Amino acid sequence: MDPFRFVAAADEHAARAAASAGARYLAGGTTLVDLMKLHVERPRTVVDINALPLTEIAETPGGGVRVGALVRNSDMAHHPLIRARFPLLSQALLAGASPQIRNMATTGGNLLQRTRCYYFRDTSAACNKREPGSGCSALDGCNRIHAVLGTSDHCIATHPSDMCVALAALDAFVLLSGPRGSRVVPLVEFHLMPGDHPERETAIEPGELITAVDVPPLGFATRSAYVKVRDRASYAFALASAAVALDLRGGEIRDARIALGGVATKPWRAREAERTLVGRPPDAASFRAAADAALAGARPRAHNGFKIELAKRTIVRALTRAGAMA
Amino acid sequence: MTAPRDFKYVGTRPIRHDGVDKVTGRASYGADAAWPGMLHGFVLRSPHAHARIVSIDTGAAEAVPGVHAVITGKDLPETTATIALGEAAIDLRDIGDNVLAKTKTLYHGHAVAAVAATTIDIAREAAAAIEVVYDVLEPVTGIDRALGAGAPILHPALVTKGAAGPDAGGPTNIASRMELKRGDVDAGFAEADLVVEREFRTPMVHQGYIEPHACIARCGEDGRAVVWCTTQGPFVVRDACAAIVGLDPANVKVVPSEIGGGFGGKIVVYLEPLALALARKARRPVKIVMGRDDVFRATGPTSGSKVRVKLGAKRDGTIVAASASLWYEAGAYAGSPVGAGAMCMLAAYKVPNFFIEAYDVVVNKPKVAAYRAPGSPIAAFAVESVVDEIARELKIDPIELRLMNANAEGDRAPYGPKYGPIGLAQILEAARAHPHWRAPLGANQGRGFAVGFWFNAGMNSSATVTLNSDGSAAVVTGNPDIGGTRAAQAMMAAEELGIPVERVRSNVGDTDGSGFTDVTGGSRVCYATGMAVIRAAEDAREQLRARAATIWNVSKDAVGWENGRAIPPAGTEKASPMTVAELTAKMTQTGGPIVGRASLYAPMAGPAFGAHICDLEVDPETGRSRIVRYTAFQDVGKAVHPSYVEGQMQGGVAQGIGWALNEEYIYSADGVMENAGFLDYRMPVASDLPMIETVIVEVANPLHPYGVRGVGEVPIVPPLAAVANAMRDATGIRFTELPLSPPRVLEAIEAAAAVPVEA
Ligand SMILES: Cc1cc2nc3c(=O)[nH]c(=O)nc-3n(C[C@H](O)[C@H](O)[C@H](O)COP(=O)(O)OP(=O)(O)OC[C@H]3O[C@@H](n4cnc5c(N)ncnc54)[C@H](O)[C@@H]3O)c2cc1C
Ligand code: SF4
Repeated sequence: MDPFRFVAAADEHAARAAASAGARYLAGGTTLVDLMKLHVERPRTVVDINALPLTEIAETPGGGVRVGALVRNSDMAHHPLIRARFPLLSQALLAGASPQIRNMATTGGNLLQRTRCYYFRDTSAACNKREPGSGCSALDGCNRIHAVLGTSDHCIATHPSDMCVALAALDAFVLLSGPRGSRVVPLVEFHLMPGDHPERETAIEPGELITAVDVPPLGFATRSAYVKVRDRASYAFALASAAVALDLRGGEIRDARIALGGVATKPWRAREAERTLVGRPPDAASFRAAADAALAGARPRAHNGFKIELAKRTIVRALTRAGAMA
Repeated sequence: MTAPRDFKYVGTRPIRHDGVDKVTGRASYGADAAWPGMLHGFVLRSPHAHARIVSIDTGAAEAVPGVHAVITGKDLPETTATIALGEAAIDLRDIGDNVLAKTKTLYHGHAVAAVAATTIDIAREAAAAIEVVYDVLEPVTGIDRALGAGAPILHPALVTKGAAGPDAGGPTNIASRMELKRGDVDAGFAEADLVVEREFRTPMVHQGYIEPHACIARCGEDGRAVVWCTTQGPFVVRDACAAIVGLDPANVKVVPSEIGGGFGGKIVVYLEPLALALARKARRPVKIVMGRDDVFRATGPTSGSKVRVKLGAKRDGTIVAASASLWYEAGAYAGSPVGAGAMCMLAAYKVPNFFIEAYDVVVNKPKVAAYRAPGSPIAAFAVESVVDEIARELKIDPIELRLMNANAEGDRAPYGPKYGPIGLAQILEAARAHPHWRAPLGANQGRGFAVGFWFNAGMNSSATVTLNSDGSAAVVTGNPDIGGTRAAQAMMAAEELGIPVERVRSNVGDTDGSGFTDVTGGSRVCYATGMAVIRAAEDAREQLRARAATIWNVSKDAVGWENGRAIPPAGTEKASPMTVAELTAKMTQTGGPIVGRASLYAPMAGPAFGAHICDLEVDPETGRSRIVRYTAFQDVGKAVHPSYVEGQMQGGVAQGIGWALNEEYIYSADGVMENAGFLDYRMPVASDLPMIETVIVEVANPLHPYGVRGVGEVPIVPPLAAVANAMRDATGIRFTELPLSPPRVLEAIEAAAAVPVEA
């Protein structure tokens, strides 16, 4: 770890005041401290925000839920409102990391967790995300875990979060508070595709603080599922994951939500796939058609081609599970 | 053989002696020591898998404020010494070069310099200021490349040792070649009705001990040095450090810390000589702790391999011939466990004709170290897979087939000696009778069976048993306790002295405080060091009898001993039996303190077999498999503390399952390990494993007074094949390459589905 200045902020104002250039907020620390140890993150100042009152989960008018930025992942996953209204979100959270990590990890930190690309985490390797312009070691390297959707010639790293995939399916919003006031960014616009600037990962501005995530009401989210495929039973990131919800009435799909994880450079909303489902019966053929549509634009590299079919099967399984719910 | 004995403590399950300290965090591990004036060391490592060191300029690093010492290979003397280590001698020249590269770096992560500074950040910053000019060479990243035409040569002076092969002479990456043979192989295969031949591959894997390497060392102006470190062999560390750093071993004391796992990987030195050399130069204590990535990249995993096996059997199942070729990666320096693999691979079977050749191949990867039954799991994966194929082809139950061909007492082992009593048939019968073998399987499930063998080791051990005046006892041996040996030793001492096991404190001594003792390895501690403890306790007991004789004024021979009490000869006036506590209370008056001592060399150990049944379920859509049931059977001779024995069996199985399903060193084309962390180097986690059932079988080992055999290594031998055989059963596909990770399995399932099945 490189030396840094440590500030424990008593309130939001103090936090933002301390967050000069080169500063990082410290929430659960499970991403930040990890990367500091690897010298990937080298903040000059670390601002501990754990004393801020951002730990609430509250109902919003119409049946939505607002989750404070400092709510621990395990608290969100087990919260009765989340479990009752957004089972896919609860499942996604519980599919992530390990119980110890979930007890520390926060909503805000989870939104901003960094990729697990090996080369990003290894300071001796070239990586455009870590060091813009240095090149991308993954393009022709060990890219089994990398993305097939939303990639660019400069970066093919996946966004690793499970929670964000469910939030993308749910059309959630990120609430930000910064030097120039507060603003709200739709989650699907919060994360950016790598393009020519893989070092720019989110819409957050320097010094801005995430205060909460708003999950708007979605009646049919009770019929939803999160399926994660990984190399071992826990403590592993997704090779492919799918968050889905189905609005099923009269034996017909009226509306659908599909988002993918583990295969794309950001939490990936598959709108085209959703559209193919509307008006069709909830059967294997419909699900498969949606899965094909979701992966239509996939571009594999040398070692991650298997993810395309795997992701399709993951989607089918998630839809089947949701479709079969009472 | 001694008559079966009624044990009082042996075979019971007392609370573990080290438990409370460990769960409360009081136990001191390698990184837990801090000494006054301590500096922090940082090791600069090669970014290239294969390179010539042209020059190293440490000037800028030395100028960094806070830096007290910088060392490179030039600061260490050349050494040609070797250390005997039972199973293999350690070549200290190689170890010295491995610890700090002298002229070439031979793997990514090879140490090239080390810095000691007042803080770890200064040390790291200074290391970054060291200018190393490399002449980068093409790396040899695997066996095929190492043996291929025009392969880069790691060691220009290397000549193939052993039975010369076809390509002996000239520059080579083959460090040695060994042959094992019996009978007439060609005639044997001619006699066979069925011949099955397959080629297998396994990747390099790591022991994955939780505690990284760590040490602290100091060296005074008088040349006297102390090293505290996490190790399986304090005496090896002492001798290796002395030779590598250029000190007199008599001046080096090594104090082993509590150890957080080793599995063979903590026998060799890595950081200790560097800390010592830095401490000598800086005249201050130096502490070095490895990061996890360096543990993966720069310590001693076990070999990646290629193994070709051919077996011939008669229609009735009798195996009549075998041939095998094994190539094991040694890593950067000679010394893979390929010889052991060759010797173990047919150990279970009566094979009249065989020919085995074994190649030790150097590649630009870390130098391999011991890993639980080194060499045997890889070889068993190959042989047990082929035996499974034969059972399938001949439609013979896999356990029957093995029983039919099983070696028994009096048979000559493929590696030479005649077997004494071995429990192979007994474990096979126990497996056959177990409900698991007959339990129904669900959809997409398969069942696999495999056996495994390990020699076990004996070697040198010493022990003392000191009696306290209150009748309690303290045991000291020189073996760091990895698998619960302190508890077992306390139980053995209690058994001999007849005092409650809670009254015995079991300790690990340092190299000055205990008699010479070989490493904690080779499954030897409970066996050989246990034997030393038994003898030391007997010695103490004999002294107690002598004291009783003094008190009663009778001859020692007349004093009996029963249930922890000295018994006076019949008719002795006013004398009644005396307990240990009563006798020790009078120690000062009767001749002074009582210390029982024993030291021994056990040339042989008593080999052991294990047999495993594995049920696995595959998800045909993702290729992911789950172990749904697992039962391990093992001949342990005598289980001193059955809970620890079961724990060893379960631990071996867990590691073997990881090796089979997920673990692998992933290398880039330029020889950089890409997954140097526990997240991406996927060992199984608790949720990946079912409760592993264990069945202890006890066929007494006549070489040990209680019948003990080594336990810790055998259980990692069968799982690779047991899992692969279960996978074959579940999917119809014979996998010959590990790990059986989801993508590989899925790909094979898809490929098999694409091939039209002939009716
Ligand atoms: C071993 C391991 C396994 C994991 N496995 C999974 C997995 O399977 N699935 C998964 O989804 N995740 C996984 N994770 C990631 C984990 O979910 C994240 O590390 C965690 O959610 C981050 O939250 P945190 O509060 O600890 O963030 P921190 O580490 O505290 O912060 C992360 C980043 O966010 C910034 N930040 C935090 N809070 C705010 C805020 N309110 N406003 C502005 N910036 C902020 C920090 O400055 C920092 O840059 C794993 C992590 C580890 C270490
Ligand atoms: S994929 Fe992205 S994160 Fe990985 S090496 Fe390339 S640029 Fe870096």
